[in-house]
Amino acid sequence: MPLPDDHEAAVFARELDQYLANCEAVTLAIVTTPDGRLRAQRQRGAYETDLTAVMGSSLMALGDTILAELRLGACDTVIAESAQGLVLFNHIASAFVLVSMTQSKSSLGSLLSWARRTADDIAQGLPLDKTVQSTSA
Amino acid sequence: MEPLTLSTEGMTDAEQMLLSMIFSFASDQLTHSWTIRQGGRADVVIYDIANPRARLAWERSRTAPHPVSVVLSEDPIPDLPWVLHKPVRTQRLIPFLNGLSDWMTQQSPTASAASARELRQDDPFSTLKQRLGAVASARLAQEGALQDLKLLISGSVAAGKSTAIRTISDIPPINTDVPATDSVSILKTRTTVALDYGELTLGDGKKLRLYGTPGQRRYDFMSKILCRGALGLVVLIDNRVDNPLAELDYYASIFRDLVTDSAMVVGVTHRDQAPEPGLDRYERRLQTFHKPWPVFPVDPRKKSDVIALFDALVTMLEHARRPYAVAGRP
Repeated sequence: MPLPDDHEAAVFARELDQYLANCEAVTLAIVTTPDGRLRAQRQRGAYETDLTAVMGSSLMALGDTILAELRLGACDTVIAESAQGLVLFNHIASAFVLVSMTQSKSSLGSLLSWARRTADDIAQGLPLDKTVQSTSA
Repeated sequence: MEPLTLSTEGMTDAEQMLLSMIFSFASDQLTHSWTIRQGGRADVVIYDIANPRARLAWERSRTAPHPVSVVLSEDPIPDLPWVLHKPVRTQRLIPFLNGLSDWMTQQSPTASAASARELRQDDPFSTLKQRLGAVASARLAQEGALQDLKLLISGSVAAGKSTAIRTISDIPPINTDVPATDSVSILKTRTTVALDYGELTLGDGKKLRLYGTPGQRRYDFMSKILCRGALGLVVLIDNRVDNPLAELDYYASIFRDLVTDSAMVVGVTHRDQAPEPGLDRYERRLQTFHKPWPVFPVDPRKKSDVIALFDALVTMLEHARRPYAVAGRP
């Protein structure tokens, strides 16, 4: 499995550190490839991250597929909510997926805002095509 | 002309099922149409003489000109015209049945190969859907609330699961494929990360839902979700992988709960690029599971190949002595 290059790893590390510093509500942040390979993570706990990265890629793809099926454009965010917390899934351009978790249900707005900003900041730090690719055939 | 009818005495369920499957999926390789008769007088009777009752029945009927007696035996039996050697294998059965039907046609001038061909001109896809519809109706009566049937297609990365669904689905399939970023990219540029979905319309509003799983093992959690409520399983194995038989073991293992009470067929793909292991090795490995799971060579791009797989699955469902349970349902 190829390792992310130094520049990429540095961007992930810098932006995820910023994310956790700026958004108190976020307890876990993961960057994964669209096919489920964990690239970077930061957390305030001891959460399992490999499988979360894989599942995050599936949910992001399903979000893309559902919105494409309904002709609602590209998927920005998938939200999974429970009584204990929230998990958000955002595209980072078309090359990565950002998974964000909070245990504070009242922090949806803050988490949405910071997750999008973090995704944008990572994308700007990488030479990526920012067009979100639909996964629907 | 009517198809030749065949009944059996003493054959195992698996052997009978193999016969049914050959009559269905390999009809284009048979020079005559055949059908299995469960009761009444048949043109041909196959006796497994290892079974005492079947041996007795054969002893009583062997001198009669009709029906034609075929002996199933592990050992050669001299002076008997029609001996089918155990174990029963697809490669062995087809030439045997063709030799037998040709001989019977010569004995009975009314038998017409032309009319046999006419029988085979039925659209196999329509026939399959009719049979699936019958299975659906039976299952609806059994399950009550079950409105649709669901089949699962799983197997190795790049084995052709998405392609098989695309080949056979009545609707444009739904895919969740993304660019592959790991070693899979050597085999293909995109890979499924959640599911593939297609449908077969069976008539009367009934639908067969086709779900394809991701092939990469890190996505096995999706397989566990998708297999809930499935009626049966199609496993596609890419013969190019390092150890295809281990792949077979793996999928039999992860879908153990599903296939214990349900039906499973195995399709081996990319045999043009990797002819080994041969189908006989798959058959031997499948026998270790003590289940009548058949294996077929498959090109997922060919509708006839995919139909043959589904045909075998439906045959298993039709021949179940008791209705197969639906996975995930009490």
